[in-house]
Amino acid sequence: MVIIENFDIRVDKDRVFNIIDCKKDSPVYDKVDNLYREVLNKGLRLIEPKGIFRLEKTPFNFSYEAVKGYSHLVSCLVTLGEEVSLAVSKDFESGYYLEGLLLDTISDEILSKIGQQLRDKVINYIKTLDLGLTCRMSPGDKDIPIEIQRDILFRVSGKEKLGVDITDGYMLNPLKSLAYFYGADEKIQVSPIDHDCSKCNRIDCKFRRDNDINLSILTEDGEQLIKASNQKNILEILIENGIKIEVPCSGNGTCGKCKVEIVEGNSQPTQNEMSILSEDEINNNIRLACLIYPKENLKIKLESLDYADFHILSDYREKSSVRMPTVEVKSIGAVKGKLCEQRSLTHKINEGFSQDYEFSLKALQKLATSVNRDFKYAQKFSLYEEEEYNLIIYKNEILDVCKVKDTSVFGIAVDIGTTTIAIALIDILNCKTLGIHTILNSQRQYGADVISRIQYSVDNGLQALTNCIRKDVLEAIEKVCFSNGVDFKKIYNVTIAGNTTMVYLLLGIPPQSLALSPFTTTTTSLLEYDFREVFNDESIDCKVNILPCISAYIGADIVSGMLNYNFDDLRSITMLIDIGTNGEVVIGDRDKIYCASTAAGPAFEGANIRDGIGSIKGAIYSVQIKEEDISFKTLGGEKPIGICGSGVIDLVASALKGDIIDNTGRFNKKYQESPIEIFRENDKRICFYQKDIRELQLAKSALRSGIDALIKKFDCSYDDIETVYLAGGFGNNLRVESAIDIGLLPEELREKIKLAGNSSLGGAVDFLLNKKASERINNIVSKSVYYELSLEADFSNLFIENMLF
Amino acid sequence: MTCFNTIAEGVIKGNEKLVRQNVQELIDEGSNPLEIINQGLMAGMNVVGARFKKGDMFVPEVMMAARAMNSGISLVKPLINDGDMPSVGKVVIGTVKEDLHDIGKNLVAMMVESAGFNVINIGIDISPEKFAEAIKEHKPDILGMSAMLTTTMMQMKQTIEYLKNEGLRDKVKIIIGGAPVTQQFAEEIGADGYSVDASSAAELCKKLLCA
Repeated sequence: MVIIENFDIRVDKDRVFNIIDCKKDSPVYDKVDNLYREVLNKGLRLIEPKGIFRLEKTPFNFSYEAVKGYSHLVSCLVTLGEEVSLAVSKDFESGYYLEGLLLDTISDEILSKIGQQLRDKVINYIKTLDLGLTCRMSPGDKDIPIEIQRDILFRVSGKEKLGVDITDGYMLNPLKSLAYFYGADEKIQVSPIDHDCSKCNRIDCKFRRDNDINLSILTEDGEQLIKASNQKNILEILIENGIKIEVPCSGNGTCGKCKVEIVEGNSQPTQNEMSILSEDEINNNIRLACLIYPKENLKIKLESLDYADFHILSDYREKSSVRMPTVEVKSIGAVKGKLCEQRSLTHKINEGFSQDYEFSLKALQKLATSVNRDFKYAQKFSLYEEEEYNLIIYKNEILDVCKVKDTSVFGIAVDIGTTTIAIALIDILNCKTLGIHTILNSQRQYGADVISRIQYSVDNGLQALTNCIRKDVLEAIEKVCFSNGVDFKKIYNVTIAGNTTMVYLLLGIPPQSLALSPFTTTTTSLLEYDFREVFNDESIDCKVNILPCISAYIGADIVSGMLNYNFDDLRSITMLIDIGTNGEVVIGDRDKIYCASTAAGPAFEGANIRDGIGSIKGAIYSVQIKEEDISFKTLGGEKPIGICGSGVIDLVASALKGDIIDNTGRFNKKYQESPIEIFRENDKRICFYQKDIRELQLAKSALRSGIDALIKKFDCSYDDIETVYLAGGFGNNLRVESAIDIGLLPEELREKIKLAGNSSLGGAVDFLLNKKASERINNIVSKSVYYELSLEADFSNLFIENMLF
Repeated sequence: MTCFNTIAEGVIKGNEKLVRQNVQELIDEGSNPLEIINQGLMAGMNVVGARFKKGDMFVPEVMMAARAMNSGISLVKPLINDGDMPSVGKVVIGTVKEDLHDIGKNLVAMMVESAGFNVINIGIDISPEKFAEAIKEHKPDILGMSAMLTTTMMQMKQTIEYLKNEGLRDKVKIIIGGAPVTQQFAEEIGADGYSVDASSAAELCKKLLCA
């Protein structure tokens, strides 16, 4: 008889919503979504998952004949305890119908999940005995009499061991319990599927999975077979199975990036696919993973993507230097012998390590099990038998205690940008990045730039914006953990970088003053709060570090970037330039750091360019004009849909060379009547207009003037500068040559420019992996001086000068 | 009149705040509380019921609507004498003996209540004797029974037999439902009606009382 109490009870939210018929387009989706997390947390508190199984020679008197064909019988019982069922009833009594229904559905999901996990344990167990396993047989299914519930309960001593009873009507009590059995025999293999839905008579069961399909996935690494629900789209299935695919729009069916080729089987293209994909692609069976709900077995091929072309920027510089993670692990084995018996455990530990640690309540509760054999808590977790165990330590606090074999420590680094959010999951013990997830910031719906978001918060309050960002980050964390199989309980630190406005919005600090001269900040410090406080969510129990800012417009993202490029310890003069809606410029040396922010406007993001577009698939990112001939490249080699910032820069550089544009930014006579036509197909035209040049001139002059003014302020020359790191939305698409040709960056720095990737995320990762980082980052902040360049006397002269090409 | 429409609209959208606000306004203006219920709250809920049946609305939306309506009613209720509370009819509902399933029956109770019935939910694991007592005590027009398993389903039959012996069978219409229950089974055991889901249960109740 084996009792299991350690289950993974993460819930697949999409399945829950599917089961209660709450689709994304439902008018109440948002309300239900808001309730979901609250109800989930309540559920997780109330649920006490337990499972038990027993393997025995098939008893002659077992009342289901078919099992007698197998040498062994495995009886199984799982339960969630009675609290959760009571809570569901209570919700209904109080008129909280939706809460009740959600809680009920969540419980059913968890019950079904722990049933599957119990099977895994059964399989591990019987494999050691060289037995195979049938699929699950449940009382009440098809020809299996419900009365067998009692037999199973009796065989596993369910009442004594798990407190599960049965009514005269053969119903298990607590209600959220399942009894079932398997046949096991050395003559058979382990059945690849557990519950065979096709043998069940509950035709309209929402959990029914006989509509499962077989999905075969071809990648460069070979072929992979997956059994999947036809309730999910291919993208969700890929993500669940840890198969990586780029999804800039988070699966909304808008970006057209998650292309797959259907090699075998059929999938009718949807309206959306028809409009996003080209005719050729449709004919060649190219479809979008997020829009295919497979109705039959499919073989699909993943496009091999040229990731360098794409682009919510998430790659960053990883340092190879020796690391000292913020969260440490120490083994108790090391000091165990020295522990004398007379004093408290905590005292002994502190003595053993010559430290003065504080202990979290969780740590104390777990530690106690090492000296209490029969304590109830010990059922779930006990150190009593352990020779050695590990302490998880953050700063001066022992956060947690783990068995040696269960010891793993993960951290989350977050970069919150105005447009995109990037999350990295870090294995802190091994200093490794396990996965990165990027999503669009869903605050977009409240405005494209920080000023419009701040305006929204002034008009309508902060709550919507704060909730939005909390939810985005939580969901991204969930996704990255889920696809890497990491348990929330093993996350011991979260570090967040972002621009000042985003950080304030996350923390629910009113940001109005950031938008009004003199741009007063409420705080710029390095902050540390409980996860619960910051996210209003209890699923993760750890500290959150919010990296410091310098001013309203030099945010934690820039400071984090400086940490990533060691601005606290510069040997020579170094610059960091972040090109976006606001262009931030930083220059520093051993002693001081000067920063400035320039209002470049959104031209670099393609926003105020007439046929402009962000850096998504199909965006023209490179243009060459030779005589009458115009050639271009698009992201992902797609049919062009618009021109993005790097394309605009490239085009203007090329047009300048060909004398199509003069140095004041005027088109030559030929183009004054009509714009430059880059692409035409039927009615669709992508053009570049005179006004677009003017927008670009404003943007490039703002940034260039900022660079020059700051270098002047720093009192050095171009020659003195050793390296210029270029960060920001452009990433690797920007052709540095062209940026220099149009005068965005100084010619003199040509050889010194290096692309920096997402240095903000990189800095947040550095912070997780180095406990000296808080000292270093504070050092960076204290060295930094912010200059409001627009107040400088000769700035407007510079600005006008730099308008010219 | 516009205000009644706003309330109905609020119920349909499941906007509890809007409903409460407008109900309170009407109360303050001295409107007839019964009219608020009939022309505002209930009118909205009727639309919800119809849309749900057509498949234009789903359970979560209906639940939001029901909550909004109940919230509105709770404001009006204190202004109405107990006897005057509008009610299409009275329904006693419970899950049969040895059966502990709650949620399906609760959904039915919610839908039936939203359709204007006075619903008394007597819970789970209800023996024939307890059903009989409830009929004597509450004098309902309709008795609803729910069962989840083939084994407990037979309790419905036994309950009906018991009610016959007690001379109570003719005092109520009996409706049944639950996963294993069918129309055929309902006829076999002498129930007056069967419904396949919660929204048709509300319709069934109305139909039975008109007959």
